[in-house]
Amino acid sequence: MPADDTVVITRMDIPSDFQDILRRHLPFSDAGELGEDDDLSDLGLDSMGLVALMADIEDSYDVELPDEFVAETTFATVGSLWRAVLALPAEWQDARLAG
Amino acid sequence: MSSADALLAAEARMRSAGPLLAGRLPELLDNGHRDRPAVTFRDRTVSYRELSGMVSAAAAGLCRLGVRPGERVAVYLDKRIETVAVLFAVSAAGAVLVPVNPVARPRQLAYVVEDCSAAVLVTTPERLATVDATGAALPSLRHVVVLGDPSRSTRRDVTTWDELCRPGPPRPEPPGPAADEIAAIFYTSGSTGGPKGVVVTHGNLLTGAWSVAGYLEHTAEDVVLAVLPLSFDAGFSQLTTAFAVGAHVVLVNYLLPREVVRLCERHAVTALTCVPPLWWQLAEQAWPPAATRHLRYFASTGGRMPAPVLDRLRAVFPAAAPYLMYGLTEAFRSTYLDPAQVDRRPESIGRAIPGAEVLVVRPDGSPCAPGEPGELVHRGPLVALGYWNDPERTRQRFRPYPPGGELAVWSGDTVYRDAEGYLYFVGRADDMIKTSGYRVSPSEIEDAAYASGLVGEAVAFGVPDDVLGQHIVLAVAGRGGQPCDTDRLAATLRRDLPAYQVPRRLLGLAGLPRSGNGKFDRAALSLQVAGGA
Repeated sequence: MPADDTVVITRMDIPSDFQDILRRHLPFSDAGELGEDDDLSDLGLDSMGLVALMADIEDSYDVELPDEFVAETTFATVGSLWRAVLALPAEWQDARLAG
Repeated sequence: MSSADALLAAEARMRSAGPLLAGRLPELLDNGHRDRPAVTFRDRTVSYRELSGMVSAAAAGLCRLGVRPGERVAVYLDKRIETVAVLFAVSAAGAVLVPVNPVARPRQLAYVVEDCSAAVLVTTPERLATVDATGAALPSLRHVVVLGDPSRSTRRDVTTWDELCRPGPPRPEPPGPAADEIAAIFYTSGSTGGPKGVVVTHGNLLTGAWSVAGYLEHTAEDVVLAVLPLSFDAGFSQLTTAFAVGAHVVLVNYLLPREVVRLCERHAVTALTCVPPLWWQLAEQAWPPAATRHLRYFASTGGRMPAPVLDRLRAVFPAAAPYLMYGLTEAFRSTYLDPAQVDRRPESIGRAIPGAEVLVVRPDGSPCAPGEPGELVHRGPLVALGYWNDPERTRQRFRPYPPGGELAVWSGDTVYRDAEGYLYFVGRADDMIKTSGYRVSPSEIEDAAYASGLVGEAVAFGVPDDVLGQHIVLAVAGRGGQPCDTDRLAATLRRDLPAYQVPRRLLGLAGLPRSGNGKFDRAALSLQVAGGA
């Protein structure tokens, strides 16, 4: 059981459009479902792939990623990256849902 | 042991051992104090005792799998503690180590496995699944060892790391001194044809480790942050030059420059070697004093360090000595510039490293005068045996010097020597692209383009780039006079090539220019692009 001060994050579904973006930059991901605990490094994310992935996220969602987005904790797992994207400013979320 | 003592000890070892050091690669681990840290990855550290135990267990496991002395074991892994253990275990089992770049794609992995007919592949479940999905047969492989869950693979020959390392009966020790025996094959791009496997002996690796650990003044107190991939000679030597003196290696799979800063602070890193594009990124970071306080040196290999980056790094690391180095995989490393000379001759690649002999010669083999450009030729105990299974390309690069004498590496690089013996790089004779610290052959990119079935003509070349050294441009024409679908081609190349080999720019043309002899005119294309076309 998690300790009391641990933030409990319930299992999340990773949207398929986000999975499609990710797969383009994860050379060792297959066509199967990406799970939130999947390790981005195990799936082959490297420093060059990371730069291309960020550009792809910005283009796909028409959003500008802030400096604080670029942290090791962001790029640890599929789930950590998706949570960081969800934490982006609210107007972007509206645009994505509308789009 | 003081640093001067370390240097003297290294030189004495090399001299007393004659041209080649006796012994095998894994014996390097005996130099570490048993209870001192050997390797750290993320939150886990193993001592020299623990690492030696892992190496023995994995070596015994490889022998149980039936790996015979001299057989090739390909290691296709990112950095982690088990990677270090298996790299040394292959040697301890008497087999030949073939490290494969962890960013390689199935296409490159298959080339290496087939070229050296590897008997065993050690990899991750994700990489294995990706290789399996291509349908590559890889008939030489008898076993695959996976670090992780084997259930995703349908192969029957899969062994897990835990099974490999399970306790078993002790195995007979492999026979003693092995200086002339093959220890490893490092694959590197060739200017023609596919990548070449540079065959190095135990003596090459041990001599190189002691030589470099000597001039970098490594001691047991050092903490080496291993940023470079372990799959090429300079990256692998992050391990050997640290283990030679019982130092501590911290592993990182490079993703973000900020992580390097954080690790330098967390582990009080004293020793850091990178390639110029990495230094460029690191120079732009904010470095708190706690991250730079312990750094004793910073070293650069794999291309020319731009002067503004060097200046910035010297300001960031005021107490650290800068080492600029030059090497060829065929002879591990040839030269380094003494840090005391950096202000006086920042453009120099320095002089021969301890134990190596570096000459500048004319085409007829006679020595060049000071200031006269000639080919860099490297002689001595670091010279590799040649290219695996490739006598023709071996004869081109490994030729006697002097005529009738021992085999030397003819580098293909043009250099000159000043009156005081310092060397300066002038240029290369071939079309190799130097990008991100890698040598990339245009033919590797062009072959991948042709394999896509989307192009009729393809020429890859390098264009000067401040950060990368060069970046790759691929000029293509479609098949049968049709325009090429460059979007589809770009997606295919991203799938089939490691990121550092993917062209920055695709240039779709109606046809590619040819020179008088009918060959593609690379020079004209590269001028056209560099000129802002």
